[in-house]
Amino acid sequence: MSDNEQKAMQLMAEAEKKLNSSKGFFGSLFGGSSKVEEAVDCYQRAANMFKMAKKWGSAGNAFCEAATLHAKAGNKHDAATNYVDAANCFKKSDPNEAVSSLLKAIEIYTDMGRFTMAAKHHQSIAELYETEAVDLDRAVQHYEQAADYFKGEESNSSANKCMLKVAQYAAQLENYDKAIQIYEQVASSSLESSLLKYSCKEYFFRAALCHLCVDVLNAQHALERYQELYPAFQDSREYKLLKVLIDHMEEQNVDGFTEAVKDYDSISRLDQWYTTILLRIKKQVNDNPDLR
Amino acid sequence: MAGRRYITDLNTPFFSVDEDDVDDETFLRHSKSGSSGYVLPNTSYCQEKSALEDKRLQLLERKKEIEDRTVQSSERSISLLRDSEQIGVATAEELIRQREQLERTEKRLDDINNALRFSQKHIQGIKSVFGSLKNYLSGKSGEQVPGPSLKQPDDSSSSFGTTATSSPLASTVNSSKANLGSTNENHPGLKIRGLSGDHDTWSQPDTSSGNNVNKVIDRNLEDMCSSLSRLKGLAQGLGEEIDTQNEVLDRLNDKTDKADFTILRQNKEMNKLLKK
Repeated sequence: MSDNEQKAMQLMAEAEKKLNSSKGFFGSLFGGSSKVEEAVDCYQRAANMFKMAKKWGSAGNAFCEAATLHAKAGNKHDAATNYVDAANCFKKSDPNEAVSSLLKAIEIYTDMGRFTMAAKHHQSIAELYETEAVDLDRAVQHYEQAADYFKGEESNSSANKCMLKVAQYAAQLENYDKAIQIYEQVASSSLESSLLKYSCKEYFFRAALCHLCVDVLNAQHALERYQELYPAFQDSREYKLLKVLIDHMEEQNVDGFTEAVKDYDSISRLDQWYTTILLRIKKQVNDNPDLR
Repeated sequence: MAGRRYITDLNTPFFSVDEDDVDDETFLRHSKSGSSGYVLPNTSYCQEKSALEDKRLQLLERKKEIEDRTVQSSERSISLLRDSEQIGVATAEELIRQREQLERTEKRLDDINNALRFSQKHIQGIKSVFGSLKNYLSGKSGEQVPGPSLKQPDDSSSSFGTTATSSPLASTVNSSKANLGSTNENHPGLKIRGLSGDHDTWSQPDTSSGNNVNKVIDRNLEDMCSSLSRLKGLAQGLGEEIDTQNEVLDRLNDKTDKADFTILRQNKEMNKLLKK
């Protein structure tokens, strides 16, 4: 694909020439704007050629140049779209560059008042931090921002999705209070919708597990509270498992604990988050030998 | 369930009455002493006994295998049901998110259509003197009316849609939850399998180990029953949600077509004006 790449380099050079040539007085008066537009066009075509040649870095750069030109010309929409395109190209080569392009796009969107788009991009940044450039703190920050913007735009289910991720990472980073708060809030708001009711039991289960990490008594009170809020919770396997775990914890019975968890796992798999939290709870049981 | 039939088939020809249990124990003990006591096991009675005993042991083994298979398959079914439930729950959340997006899109399309109406008026004004006169006359009355009248039926229909969904959905959810309590006792499917009320009559001829297996199987079947009713509620809710979203999509389609057509027309008119 070096053919495409050469064409793309030519287009870039052309675009730069157009920009430089419009420095003249008359040029900037009469033909300045059209020169800039042509330059932008060239940059975009160059970027597309780079994409075909799979040179993601150069494509991203070309899109960024196009975006800065648009921003100078005052076309905020186009600038933001070009920044997003640049970020898409950078995602495949350099996540940090992608993040910076997305941040610029977010600035423009929040300026325009398009908070939904800004929220979606915050979510993308957070996902990037989650997977490629693993930095859980920043991922959590961006998820929180996204959730706030979504809530501002009344997209409650998208906001809930982001808050759930925040809670998941908060619990992993041992910030149990925050996680408990978020899970309880999301669960109580889901109770009101007839479709989302079915996911409540999972949220209550997670909140109760976080309670268990902190204090067994708290967990018991919390379980009773959840039972009142959502009577069907009592019939679920999760509730039964929680009761069994609490009993074993009170008796300091580590083997019974492991037995119960294995039992539950054989019916429905526990994913990594659950296993981490349950291991922490088990360590607590081991560390507190009979304080009574 | 299949295992039950085997067990009953096994039970009736060989162990039909209570007394046979006692008989079997003594029979076993008797044969043990017999095989160690009898030096010359030439008698036909002894051979018959050992042959019968072998058969019995074989059948007991088969029974155990079948019971194990049944318990395992019931546990597998429970895990499958829970997986489907999880998938259903995730789908429900996605659907609701998409519904919010669809509603937002609809609002924006309404805004676009309003803006297009304004631009149409401007174009009319530019086109000719008569056009601008027409604008002036119809300006005060025309602008206000179409906006809210279009918005109102949409808002009311979308809110009607949601209240309509929430009431039948809520009633289905409530009825399925009520069923959860009573289903375990009086479900016709359970009656056919003779598990609900007639539970006791089956348990007696079985040995104690058979009782435990039956209890486990019963418990698993109850679990499956409640899972299935939850799944049914979920599926109904999902279906209704999709139906209302289909209606929203049809409306969106109409509005987009209208906006598209208006934009094309206005572009043509603008081109004509500019060339002049």
